[in-house]
Amino acid sequence: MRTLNTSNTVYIVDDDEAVRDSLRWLLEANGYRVRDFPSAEAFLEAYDPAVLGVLIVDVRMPGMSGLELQEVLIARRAPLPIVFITGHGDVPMAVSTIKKGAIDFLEKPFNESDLRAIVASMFVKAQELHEQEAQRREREAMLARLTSREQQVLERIVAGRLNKQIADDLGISIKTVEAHRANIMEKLQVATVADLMKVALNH
Amino acid sequence: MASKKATGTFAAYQETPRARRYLYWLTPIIALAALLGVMATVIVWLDQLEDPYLILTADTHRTLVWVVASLCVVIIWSLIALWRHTLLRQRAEAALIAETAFRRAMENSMLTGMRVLDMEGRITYVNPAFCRIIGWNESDLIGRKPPFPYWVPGQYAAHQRMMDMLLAGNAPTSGLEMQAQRRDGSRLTTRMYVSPLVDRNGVQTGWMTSLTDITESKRIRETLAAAHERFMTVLEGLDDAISVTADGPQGLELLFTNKTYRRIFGSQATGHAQLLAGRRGRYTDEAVEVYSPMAKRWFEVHHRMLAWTDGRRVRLQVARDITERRAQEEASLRQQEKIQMTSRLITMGEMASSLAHELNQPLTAIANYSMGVVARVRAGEVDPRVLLPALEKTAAQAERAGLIIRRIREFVKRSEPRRQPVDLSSVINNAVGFADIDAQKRRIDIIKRLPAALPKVMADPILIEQVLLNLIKNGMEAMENLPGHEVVVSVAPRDDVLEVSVADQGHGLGDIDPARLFEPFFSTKGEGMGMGLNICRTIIESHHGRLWAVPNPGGGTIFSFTLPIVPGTLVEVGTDDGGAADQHDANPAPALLTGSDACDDVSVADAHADMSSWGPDLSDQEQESEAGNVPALAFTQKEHLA
Repeated sequence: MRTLNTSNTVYIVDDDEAVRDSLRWLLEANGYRVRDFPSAEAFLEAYDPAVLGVLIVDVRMPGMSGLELQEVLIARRAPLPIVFITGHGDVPMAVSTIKKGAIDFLEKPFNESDLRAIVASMFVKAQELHEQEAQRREREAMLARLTSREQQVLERIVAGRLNKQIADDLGISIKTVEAHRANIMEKLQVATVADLMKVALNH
Repeated sequence: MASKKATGTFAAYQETPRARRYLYWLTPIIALAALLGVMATVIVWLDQLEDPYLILTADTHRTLVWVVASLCVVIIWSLIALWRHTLLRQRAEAALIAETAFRRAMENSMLTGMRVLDMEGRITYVNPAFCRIIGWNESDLIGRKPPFPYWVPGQYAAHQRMMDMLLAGNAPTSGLEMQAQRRDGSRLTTRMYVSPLVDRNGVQTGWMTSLTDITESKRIRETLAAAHERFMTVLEGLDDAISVTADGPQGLELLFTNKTYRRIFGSQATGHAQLLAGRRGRYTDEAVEVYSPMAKRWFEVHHRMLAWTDGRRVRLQVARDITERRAQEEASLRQQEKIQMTSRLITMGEMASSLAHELNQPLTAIANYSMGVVARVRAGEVDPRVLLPALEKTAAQAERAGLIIRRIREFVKRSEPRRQPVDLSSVINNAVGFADIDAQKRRIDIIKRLPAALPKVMADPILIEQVLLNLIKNGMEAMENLPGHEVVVSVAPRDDVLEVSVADQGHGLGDIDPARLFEPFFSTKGEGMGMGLNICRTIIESHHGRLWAVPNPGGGTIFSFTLPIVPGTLVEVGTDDGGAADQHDANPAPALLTGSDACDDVSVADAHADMSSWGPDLSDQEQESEAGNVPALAFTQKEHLA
């Protein structure tokens, strides 16, 4: 039994009330915090990307379908692992959704252990996604602090050019390039060029 | 008068016995003998007289008187005999004249031409009829030897051949047909009969020919023959097998057949008998389709009684080979059945798929609730207030699953079309319940306008439901991308039928002839197969109803159909059951339980409540189809209502 964790929110989107309600009942019994919605639109209205959560969504619904919802969430870069509920799984759709980042499929009717395992792994994934998202935001914030000249220099460092070449390219002295470089290292809070490369490339 | 007199004389002459007439030559001999006797007696007497001078003595005188008296007697008797003979001859002559005149008159009045040829072929006699027929005068003909003037120029050889045959005595007794040319150049055809002319001594003296003009009769005969030939050509050329039979003592007697009959059945009456198919004596003018095992073909057979040429009542049979036509008809019928069957199967397959799919919903819910309860109980959380609602919901979902299974069973059961008294409102509720699923996606309202009470109709509810569903779906499809958002289903009693109308606010019929809508393979939809309305009409017509389309005065189209009312059945229609509103109500409520037919209504209400919750899955299925998983189903889904 998991401890009740307010950040462990499971979102359920299904148009069938019985399925939705019973799934909520089952997940709550397993200690999850559950929020359910009868349609994708209702979910999008209420969803807060800042809160750690996972999404269980029916593939087919009137109005916006589960697949369309996935597209919207990808576009929004929402750090939300998705599991699709389907009556009878079909391979092309499964491949396409998993390529887009869906974790798994739940075939109706569910098996409790499968569901628990999937939801558990979803939360691991959600944690990762959240961390990645946090790092990404952090990196972006750091990169945003660089001046335009510093960005020019950073581009060339990443491209593997030497200080002398960069100085020639930009029409500035090597000393100035070295000063920019030091500033970049400081602003991005890295000690080595390798770390610098990692930050710049993960952007 | 003259002929009668002549005949009388002739008859009188005939009366005299022939034997007596032979004795007439004795009369002069007897007279002569008597005279000679008297003369001899006188001479003998004179020799005996011594007196050379005849002295009249008394004795002598007496003897002389005797002699004179005897002579007188002989003379008188002779005169009498002569007188009688003269009388007789006179009569014979008169009779002969009368006879000759009679013969001549006969000859003259005869219509048959008579001609006599002598043994060398010279014409010795012609009668006036002959001259009249042949067109030459007697003087042109008598004494002529061949070639005769009436011979047709250019055909002398043929004429000569005929003449030689005639003179050789080889002319057929049936007569000779001969062409002749008159003096005026016109031609004629004659028939001649030849017989030898034999005199009273039994010696042949020539040839007697009689001749008739057969030009007209020959022309008529030829015309008739030509007509007959034409008639026969037509009859023989007909593709119909024609035969005429009479009922004889040994069964059917075949009197006439044409070529087609002989080709198919030979010259036996067996074929005729087979096509009669045991209907001897019973004839109607309508055609009967009969299979002939002998010809291994199907025939459309007409029979008619006729009076035959000999006055008998005979049977005319005209049989047309319809094997090909029948095969085609059967093929098209089979095709039609197949199409209907396919359509039905598509709908049923789709329905079964939907139902199976739908079954997953309650099963999932049941599994989830139970697993949740198990998890809670395991964790020691056994508060009934928490657990009970979930268990109740579980039970409700199990019931929902049960209802779906009942629907499936009903569906399987309903594959046989059965007409029965049906409450039309329940059928409409069912159909609208189905269609509502689609309607909600399209944001269209289906409005029912039913009277407070409706009589039952004779119908197969599942078929009528499909017709309604089809019409409603058509209506909704017609409203695609148009501002209209209402489909109105209404019912109104009309005399002995109920009229059901489905009115949409779609693009309407435009220039399309409403009748064409129901033709097979006619479709206004891009992907339509054009079978939906045709099948609908077939279904309605099989219910003795009518299906038609008229423009909706408010824009769009109204499709209407009629169904026959079952007399004496009036069922109250429940207030609107709000099928659409109950969309997510998992608990079926018998909302329609009214009227005497409670049992029926319960199931309908159940079914309806059940159906109204199918919505999500039907849409699921469509989306799945679009995703390309089941192309066949995607195809059928689009096509089957087209």
